[in-house]
Amino acid sequence: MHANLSDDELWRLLRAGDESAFVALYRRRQSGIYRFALRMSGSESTAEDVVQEVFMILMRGDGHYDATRGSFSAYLFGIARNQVLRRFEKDRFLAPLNESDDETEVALHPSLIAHYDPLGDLTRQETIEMVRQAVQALPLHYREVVLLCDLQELSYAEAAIALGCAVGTVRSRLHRARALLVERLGAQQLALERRADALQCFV
Amino acid sequence: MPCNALFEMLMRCQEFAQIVIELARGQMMDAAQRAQGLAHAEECVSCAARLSDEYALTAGLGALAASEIKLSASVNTEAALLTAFRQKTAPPLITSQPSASRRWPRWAWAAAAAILLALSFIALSTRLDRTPPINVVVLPTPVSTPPVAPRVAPSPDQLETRDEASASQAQQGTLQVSYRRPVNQNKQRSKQPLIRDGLTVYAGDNEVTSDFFSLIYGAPSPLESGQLIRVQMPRAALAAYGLPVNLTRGDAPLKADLLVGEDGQAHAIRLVR
Repeated sequence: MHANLSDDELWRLLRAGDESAFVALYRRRQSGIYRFALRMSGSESTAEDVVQEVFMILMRGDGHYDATRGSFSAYLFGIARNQVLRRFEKDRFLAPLNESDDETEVALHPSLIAHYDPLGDLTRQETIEMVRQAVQALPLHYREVVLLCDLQELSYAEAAIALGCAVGTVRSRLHRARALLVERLGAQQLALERRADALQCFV
Repeated sequence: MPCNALFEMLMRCQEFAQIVIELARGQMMDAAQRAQGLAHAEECVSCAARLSDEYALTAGLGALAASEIKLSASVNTEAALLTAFRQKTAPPLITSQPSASRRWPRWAWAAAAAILLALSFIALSTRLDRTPPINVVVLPTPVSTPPVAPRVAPSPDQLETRDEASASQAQQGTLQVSYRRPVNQNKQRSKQPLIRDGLTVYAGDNEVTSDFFSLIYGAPSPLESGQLIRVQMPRAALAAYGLPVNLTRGDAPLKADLLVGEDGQAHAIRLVR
């Protein structure tokens, strides 16, 4: 019955106490929230807790959703992100967010650094696993933009709402994050060969 | 390549770097800008390599997203949320049990009862303290001793100053009332008893009393027993007893002690202030 209703319409029905609207909204959005929280935290239990807390906040009406400011999914991801960060602070896993572009400040566990292996030579499953590890190894403020924009397919504007920053910040962070991913996925050597070819054009 | 062409190439590389991700992700963008970018990639090997890497990364991220599409929270989470939602939206139950906000803990009831008892005791004690010990104990009258008529204060039309009553002449078993000066010549009494021998009535420490005035016309007969009763009366009632009234005090009530005999008749009155 509620399959054709938008998130906003389900939200209004939910606030009016419509249980079926709550169930429909939950089943429509919970998996995206779960995956985002899972890739952010690397923990299934944390992801479960985050999903529960996000929808409890919706139920209690603690949040302040404004349809004029952005989509409902961006609003949900914003809540989920805040919940993940709270758990990080509690567990002291969170490194201070750093706007610096100095990659030397980023500490990577050796096991998370992908060895050089061109993507084209890998099986699909190996590729997926390597990409997953590379994303998980990103610094938090780069990881969240990749998860929202590339995995959850949010627009720059929606991601900016969820992250509480400007669209330009989202864009610049995504560019930087993808650059790090390319580097860590072993495309560096190939890029060097291609740069060498390009330099010959200017000699 | 001429310098100008090189400069233009570098500029286009910088512009290309701004849009390469949007090109690789297939995002909506200006058609002309897309065409220029793709055209540049065909001309510049390094930018083409960058675009190729971005295409590969986009494909890898897409594969990752597709592999996780079935990941979701457990059914327990949905059940817990549904229970919470039903509890929240359920109508409140109406019970006869008072709400927690109105329910007093036991210690509060005990404390309130104790306070009430204490207040009652204090009020009773205060009342007893203020009341002069007017429980008259009448000693048995000796048969051989004739009753002695109390000395009576002069009637209002015969105001005279009298000396203090000869209390030493009081006989045992009789009530000797010392009738003193009229009310408009009160003096603060000390703790000297007004009625002697078997009956002692003191005014309160903070009270001033007049002498007793007889309310019986003519010579009052001696009282063998009686009661002293504290009363409050309008000033106009004094006139009914033949006593002078201070009209400047208006209708302010008066306190008085009535000496009431066994016949139930008020024999004497003294004013209390």
